[in-house]
Formats: sequence, C-alpha cells, structure tokens
Amino acid sequence: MDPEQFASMGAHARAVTGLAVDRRGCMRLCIGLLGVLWLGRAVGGREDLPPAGDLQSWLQHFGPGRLGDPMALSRLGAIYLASHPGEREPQHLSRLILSDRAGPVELVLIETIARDWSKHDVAQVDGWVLSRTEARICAAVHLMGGGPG
Amino acid sequence: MIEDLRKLPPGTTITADICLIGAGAAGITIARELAGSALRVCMVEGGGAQYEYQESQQLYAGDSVGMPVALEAGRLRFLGGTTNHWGGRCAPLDELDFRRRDWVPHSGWPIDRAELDPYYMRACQVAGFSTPWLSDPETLSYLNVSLPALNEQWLKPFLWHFTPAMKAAPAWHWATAYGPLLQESSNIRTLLHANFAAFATSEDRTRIRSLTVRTLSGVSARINAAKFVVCCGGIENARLLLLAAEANSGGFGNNNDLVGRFFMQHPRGPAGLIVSSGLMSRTQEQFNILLGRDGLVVEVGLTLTPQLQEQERLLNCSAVLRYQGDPDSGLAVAQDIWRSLQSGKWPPDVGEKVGRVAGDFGDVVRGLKHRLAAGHPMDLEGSQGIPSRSAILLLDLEQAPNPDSRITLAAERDALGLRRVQANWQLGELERRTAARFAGFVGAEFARLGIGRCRIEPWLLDDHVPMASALEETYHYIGTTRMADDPSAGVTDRNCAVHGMQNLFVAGSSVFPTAGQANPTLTIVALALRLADHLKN
Repeated sequence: MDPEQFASMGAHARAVTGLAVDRRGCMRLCIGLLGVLWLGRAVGGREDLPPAGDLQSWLQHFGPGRLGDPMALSRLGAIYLASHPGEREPQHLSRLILSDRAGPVELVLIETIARDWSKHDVAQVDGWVLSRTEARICAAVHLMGGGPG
Repeated sequence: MIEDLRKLPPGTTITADICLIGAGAAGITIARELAGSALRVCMVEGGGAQYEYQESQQLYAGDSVGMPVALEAGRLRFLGGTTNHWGGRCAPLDELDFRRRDWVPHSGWPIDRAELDPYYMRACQVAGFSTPWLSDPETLSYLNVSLPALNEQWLKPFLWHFTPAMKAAPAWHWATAYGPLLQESSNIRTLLHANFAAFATSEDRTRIRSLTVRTLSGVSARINAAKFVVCCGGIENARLLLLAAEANSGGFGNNNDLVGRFFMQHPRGPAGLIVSSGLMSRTQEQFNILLGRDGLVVEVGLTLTPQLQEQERLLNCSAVLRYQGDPDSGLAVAQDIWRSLQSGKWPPDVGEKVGRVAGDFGDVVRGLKHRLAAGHPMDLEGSQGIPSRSAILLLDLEQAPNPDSRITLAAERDALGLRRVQANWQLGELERRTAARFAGFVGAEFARLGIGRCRIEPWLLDDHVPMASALEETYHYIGTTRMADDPSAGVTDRNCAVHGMQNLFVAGSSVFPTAGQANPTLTIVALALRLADHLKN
C-alpha cells in the first residue's frame, strides 16, 4: 500500500462526507500506521532500525513524521487514556505495546497489530475502531506531549 | 371471481368452507393454493382493487405512542395488501432464529427451520422466482464474485434475493400476479370493500359461526364458513382479535392477555461510516446489489454468525453498505456535464471536467454500465454505480420479544365504528448492544482486510442517546399473535390455530415468535403454504 495514497485520504473523506476534524485525525493515524506497515515491510530486517523496548525514542525520532498530526493522535490518545487510566505510565504503556518482543519497532508493531485484529483486541476511541496497539500508540504520543489533553 | 360488496344486494349471505379475511401476501397465497380444489373459499378484502384513501386507507389511522410507527403509510389496504409497495427482498430465517436462546427472553418457535424448508422452496415459486435458489456460495460463483476472507467465526456474508420485477412494478406484486387467477377461479370468491364488522360465535365462544362484513356506505353481507383465517397483517390481525374479544367478552386467543403483545419490527439505521483511503471500487463489486444473467438480482451484505450470537449473547443482525458517491469521480463529473447539456447549458470548467472524465475513463465505463444495467438513467441523482471512498454501514436488527411493546385498541373509533389501533413500539438495550458489537466486529474486520476504517455512530456509544434518533421502522410488523404450543405463552399454536378456538386461524408475520433479521415476506408465504396444506387436510 502506497503511503502517499493515504496522505490524501483525509481530504477526500472530508469532501465526500463532511467529516469532522477529529475524523481527519484518526485517518492520519491510520495513514501513519499503514505507512509504518509499508515501511516496515519495505525495510524489514535493516539493522539501523531501533530495537523493541525503545518505543519512546522511536516515536520521538520517527513517530510524528510517519504517524501524521501529533495533535490529532494525542487527542485520540487522551480519550483512550481517560477510559484506561491504568495505562498512563509511559514505561508500562511501552511494555504493553511492545511486550518483550525482540526486533525492530516497526516489525513488532506490524505483528502486534495483526495479532490484535485476529484476537479482536480492539478499542473504540471517539467511535473509531482501532486495534488495541493503535490506540496505545496514540496514548504514547499523548504522554510524550504531542498535544493538549 | 372478484366482486365488489358495494354492488351486491344488502343482506347477502355467502356460504363457504373457508373464509379468508384479508387479501395480501398471506391471504392470496392461501387462496392460490386452494384454487381448483373442492373447497368453497370466500376471501374478503377491506379495500378495493386500487389504492383509495377515503374509501379504505384512512381506516388504518391510529395512535403511535412509543417509537414512531407510520400506521397509515406502512400498510396498504387494497387487493394485494402491503405487497403493493414491497421492494421484493427475500431471505429465509436462519436456523438459530427458530431456537430457544436463553439470552433472548421469550425466544423459540414451536417448529424448526427444517419444518419450513420445503415450504420455503415452494414460497420462492409463489414469489415469482422461476428457478430454485442456488446456495449462497453457488450464487456468488455464478456471479463471478469473490468475497474477502472474513473471519468465519464472527461474520458471514448474507444474500438477499430480489423477486423479478413486474410490468409497472419493481417487484412481485401478489394482486398483479394472481389477480387473473382469482378472477377466473370458480371456487374462490373474492369480495372487495368488505370490511370486517363482527364475528358471530357459538354460545361457548369457541367456534365462529359467521363473519359480518360491511362497506363504508353501509352495505353488509354475512359469510357462514367452517373455518376462518385472519390474514390482515401484523397489526390488523391483533386488532381484529382484540375487537372480537371485546365484543364477545373474552376469548379469541386473548384469555392470557397476549394478543397484541410482543410487537416487533426490524429496526433499521446507520451503525457506522466506513472510510477508505482510495476508491472502494473492489468493495463496491462485492458488497452491493449484483446483477446476473437471467434476471438474477441479489444484494450481498453481512451478518453475525450463530456462534458469535451465542458466544456474545446477541440478537441476529445484518448490514449492507450504502455507498456515498465521490463527487470528484469521473462518473459523477460526467453526470454533471450530462445534466448541464440536458438543460441546454454549457457546463462551467468544461475542459477540466472532460479531462477528469478522460482520466477516470475505466471507472466511468464500469460505473455507467452498472448504473444502466440497474435501470438508473444517467442523470439520476444518487450514488448508484459511482465510485465511492466511503459507505454507511446500514443495519437491520432483530428485535427482542418484549411483552410491553404492543398493539392495543385506541379510544377513538373509525368510520365503521370500530376502535382504532394504538401502537406502542419499544426497543430494548439488547438491540443497542447487538448493533454496537456487530459494528465493532465489522469495523475490525474491514480494517484487517484493508477495506476501510469504521467510525461507529454515537447512538451505539452512549446509552443515553435515544434509539429513536437513529433507528426507523421497516414496516415489518411481527409477533402480535405469536405461535406457541403452550396457550399461556402464545396466541396461536404450531398450526397457526388460535388457542381456545375451534375454527379460527391466523396467517402472516404476526405469528412469528421472533423476527430474525431477514425480511419477513418469504417466511409469511412459507407459513401460508403450510397453513393451506393444513386447511386442505
């Protein structure tokens, strides 16, 4: 899937449906996550990718650019955290996202999100059906100060 | 023969073996089955041969005190009944719909799906299908459609078959199809403008001796028959039994105050919005109304698997996708150009628009072909065939049987002096939970499969949002004379005979104990065929 194709999705969706800004935020997240998957597949196995367990540094270096609008992601993350207060601690959240899985962050995320779907481990955030890991990535962006809560 | 009561001498008495009250899908199906037999049949219809508001339709007015029920618009009171505005969507109920489900109070039919299977086969013929239905996989294969690999533990595709269109009608209409047979039949006497007025019973009120019918102008007739079948639709069946019970101080299946209770429909409404990164062309070729050779028309949607219903303790539920055409697509732009030219104007920015059509030429041809094949003219407003980037997930829900959702008699009387009907349609939280879970599973599966992302509608996220703000009725009136072996649990028995009455039967969706998610007409016809066999024997 071509990430550039996704980049135009929010605008098209608004044109067609009159979607609100928060929908754009979610679509950017989806664009970003699918972009991550695409990049992960494209570069899978490269040694310079940050290893799992270093989610925050990965998000700081790569996240905002790849995942889209940090403000929108943060907003979804804040909504998610409001109903999951037990996941507010960054290190704990990072462990929940990556578990103890070894390997580059992108590849771990790909596998974890795929596993979420197969187990129907989903979260509804502001109405959007996200995989649990997608929702937690939003929460991590929020905890990193990606936007107002 | 078809006659008009207004033209018969006052005080006419007709003697018959079987009297059918109501000439809609159920009544005409039974009459069709009995045509040519040795039985003398009299079928009375309150309306005429065509729609007449003052003469008939306004008798359907009443009160709606719960979720809105369009008592006058949802039903049609003339020969052919409500099939006269039917869309022709057919599907049988699922096997699980017939079973008692411990998570659905008052569920369970006294018969199972296997009992109805042979009648479903016959019902397809009565509904105009010239060939037996293929199985869903065979149908999809015939249409050369391959569906995405849904997780079969959770969701399954569901196919609705559309009846053949008729001359000047988009679907199969019973009066058009079988009017000539009724006209020519020597043993079926159909009486129009013959409104129910009263039953006369035996002293112990267990046997009906005669039915009095009346026109609005006061011409009346009496029908003496050995058996009577009420087949006036899901609301009117209950009303007639309630009126008869009131006039006879009880009986008519209402000794346990069950007539009119468990009033159900298939609530319909949006569950979510599916948004795709690009055009949903592939999905539109899969989940849509699909046309085959030989006039085959099916709609492919989704439904919950029985396993998931059981595991999550949910009702039955289905959904179709309603695409929101992309206004920037080549086909939509071509439509703009066409409309401008039709009105004698040169479209603005014509160069840019032509360029867009040319750049999207493949989709334009494909969409146009689909649109024209479906009978939609080029300039018709709407998204049919237009490539889309988003779609509404439109639900049809099973409703849980609820004794407080009911039809009663209103205080006001109609032009015949009979009490009008009052509908108190109520929905419960199991319906909302089913819809929310279903939308969640569809959203997750569509995300996994790369079809699009789903945003669930607010009414499914907040219990405080009234369901009436999102759901509307489908004119499928069900459950008000429910079938049960135990008289304390139902109005009719497994043979559609009214408990406590020797010669009174009910036909129609009012006998369904539960509604499933499928449109009811095919099941109404199947049960009518089964009842016709019972009456013949």
